[in-house]
Amino acid sequence: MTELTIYTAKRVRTMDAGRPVAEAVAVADGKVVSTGTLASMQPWFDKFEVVVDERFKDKVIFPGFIDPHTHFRVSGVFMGLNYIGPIDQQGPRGFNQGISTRAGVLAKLREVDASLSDPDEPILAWGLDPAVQGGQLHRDELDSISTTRPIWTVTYAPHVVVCNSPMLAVAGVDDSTNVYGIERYADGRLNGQFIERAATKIATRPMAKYLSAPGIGVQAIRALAKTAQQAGVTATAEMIFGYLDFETEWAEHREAVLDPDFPLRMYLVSLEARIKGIHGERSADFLLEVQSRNTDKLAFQGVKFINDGSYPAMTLRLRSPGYLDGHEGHRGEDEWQDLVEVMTPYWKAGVQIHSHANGDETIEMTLDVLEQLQRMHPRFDHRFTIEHYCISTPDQARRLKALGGLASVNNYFVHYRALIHAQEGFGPDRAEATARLGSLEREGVVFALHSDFSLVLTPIHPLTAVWIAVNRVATDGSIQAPGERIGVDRAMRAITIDAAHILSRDRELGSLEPGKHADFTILDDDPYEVDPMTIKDIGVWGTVLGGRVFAAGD
Amino acid sequence: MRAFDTLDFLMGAVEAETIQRLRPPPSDAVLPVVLVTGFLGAGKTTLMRRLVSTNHGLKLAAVVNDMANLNLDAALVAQAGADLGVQTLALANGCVCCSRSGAVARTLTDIQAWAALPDYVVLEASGVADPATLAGVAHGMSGVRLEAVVAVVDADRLDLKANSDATRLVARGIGAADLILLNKTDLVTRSRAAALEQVLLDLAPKAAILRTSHCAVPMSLIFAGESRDDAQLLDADVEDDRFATLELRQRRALPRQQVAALIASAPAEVYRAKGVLRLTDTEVPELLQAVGRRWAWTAADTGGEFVGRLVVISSADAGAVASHFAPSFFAS
Repeated sequence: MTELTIYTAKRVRTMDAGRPVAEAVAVADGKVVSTGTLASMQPWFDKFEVVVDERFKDKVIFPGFIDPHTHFRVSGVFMGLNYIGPIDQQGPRGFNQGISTRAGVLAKLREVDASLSDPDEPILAWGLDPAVQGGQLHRDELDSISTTRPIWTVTYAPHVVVCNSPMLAVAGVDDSTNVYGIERYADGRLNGQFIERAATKIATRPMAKYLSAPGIGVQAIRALAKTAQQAGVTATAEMIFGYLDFETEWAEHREAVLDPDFPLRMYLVSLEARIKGIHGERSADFLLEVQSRNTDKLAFQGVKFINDGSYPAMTLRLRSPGYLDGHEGHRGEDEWQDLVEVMTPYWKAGVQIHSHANGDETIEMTLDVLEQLQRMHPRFDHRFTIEHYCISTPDQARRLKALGGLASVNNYFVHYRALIHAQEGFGPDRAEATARLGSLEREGVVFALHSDFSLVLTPIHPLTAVWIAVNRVATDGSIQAPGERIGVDRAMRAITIDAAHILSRDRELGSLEPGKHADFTILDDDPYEVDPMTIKDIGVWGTVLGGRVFAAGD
Repeated sequence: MRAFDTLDFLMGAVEAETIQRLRPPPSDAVLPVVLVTGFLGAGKTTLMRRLVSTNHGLKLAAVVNDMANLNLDAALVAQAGADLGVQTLALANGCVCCSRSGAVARTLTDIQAWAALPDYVVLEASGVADPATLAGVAHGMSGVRLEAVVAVVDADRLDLKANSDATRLVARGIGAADLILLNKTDLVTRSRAAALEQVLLDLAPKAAILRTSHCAVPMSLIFAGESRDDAQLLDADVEDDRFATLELRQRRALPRQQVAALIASAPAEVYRAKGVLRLTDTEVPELLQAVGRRWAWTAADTGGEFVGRLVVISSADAGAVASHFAPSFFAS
């Protein structure tokens, strides 16, 4: 007989609005069978061998959190970088405390050296500011940390690379190398410093080779998936699949994701700019054919267009009055006027379209395109999703609803960057109103929250996204556009069932209902019950994926 | 300072390496690249238009950030495309949201795979990308030679005191430049121009600075003549009797440091020097390229009759230039 595992909990939040709360959830063969109480589940007991698992009895069980827009492969390679800069800095590995002294820099490098188990693994460090951290590093100093492990450092403003002796050997540089910018001690020995272009070119190659080595892609996916899992994520979507090379990335994702120890479901949204380069007019057909490779854990999902730049790099496109300093953002590879034509085959073939638009000018253009697609070939439930939706206007939410579109929003910026961009780039009005979730809610648009991890240096932590959505508190404690706050329930939907909807997986994910995957996020407390200002601090015990338990400490 | 600049540089370098590993350049040919940078409105686009529409005999590929920015009228584009063999392309940026320098790497790799390589790639850096970062990544690629970073500066409106991201990027572009065009000098007094030149020199002590209006700059300053027949290049030059091209010949093989010292101490009016030279420390002659007070040695593509010839472009008196380089070089 098949085992039915019943997990008891302090509370089960099903995210099924009709039956929102339970005390237990029953799982068989990796799927949810029932939610309710031990008593209400009784009718199932004849069919199964019942096992009651009490390990979560003091916890709160949610459906597994979903971050529907990440970039593990491309940004994960930078997990190999260690930050040694003077200011607190969000980096690829997460938050880094600033190091104010030279001794501190060396201590950090020593710490990293001690922590690496593979003796050949290099230390790659970035962020040194010679002006405040005691001048440039040099070879003898780095050799004092290790004479066997290659060490590579680059300054914050990436002008100067400094290597230790083993790294000089890797770079193929010795006393006879005669290139302007390779510096020496007074006694003529190389001092490990590389300045100016000609020299940094030589010095940068080894770093680039390390971070592009075969196998690094798999490592990158694994490393960031672990970070995501610790934040309670059980499913995510890679949104520029095929950026480097389609089949190479497919092999990397297969190797990483299909390993039973990999804690996430991964959906792959292919970048149109690459697909069309390979498949031309057959691109939409190709994306339908490639679905034959799908499994429950790793699956192709839609096509991605990118039509402007990014929020923190200030390369998105704004309508009048534009940027504070008058510069203009970027438009993306496809010409805007060609977009209807370019999107049509996907629209007609039923390949879900995810269209990146950060700025309001780009969103307006995207809505115009969606409108034309609708006129030409009307569709309901097409799931056309605007990705990022950072700077928008309330009327755009209304139009989006009328056209049947969805939004996947990076709302982390409201907290992390709204104050910065009030002064730099977007101006106070638009910065304050970043991520207008309240407007989307008022108009009835389905939306999800995402992190874009880790290309825009904000963390992956869905409870923080919820905290920001509900409170909209900036780093100085001020509330940014209070009318754009949403309630806890809506915010929790945006990281569960509505995120599943945006990935067209709401039939199998996003809520705890019979037949859906047994994907859970296990929390120490209930976001619906705590003071909303403490939601981000709720502990994540771990996750469950298809019935397999992953404690956060694993 | 922004973490984005550093990470953009690192990401670009990694992307370039990854792309080149997946798609190695099909030949050993080297692609010369000129990077044009400058703030919005300084005249960068004017310069780009000049470069693509002047009949200098060079096959160009012009890479621009946004096609719309070039705003060439249709007739000009058609003519440039057909007659002058210019290919204008938008920066391939399948991921505009992430690495700018990755986009540069990808575009250059795409061009390297063309059946017929252009003679030069002119790459326009956008107003928000860090030019030093882009230069570093382009320069780091296999089969790419970054010949010069040209910064266009607005003499009328340059203000480096403002504490903004834009100002910081302008300063970075200037700092990274080999050749600075102090443009719109027709709109300012000579004393302002001189004061600005000093500011620019402080930021970029090795750069050559040229006062221009409407970016009217001799093509031979941008595309320092290859060691071949550049009569057409020189013919196409803007009427500018400030400049002269001087051809010097080396008497014998020279120590590398000596040549470097000559460049480093050359008068400010020497803008460019280029030539395939015989050196005492190596069998094979090497190509010297100098812009302003920076130089680089690379493998020479050409040899034969061009070995031993140094072409110097300067606005100084020919005699003064010749005597600076004497006796190692003599005017032919």
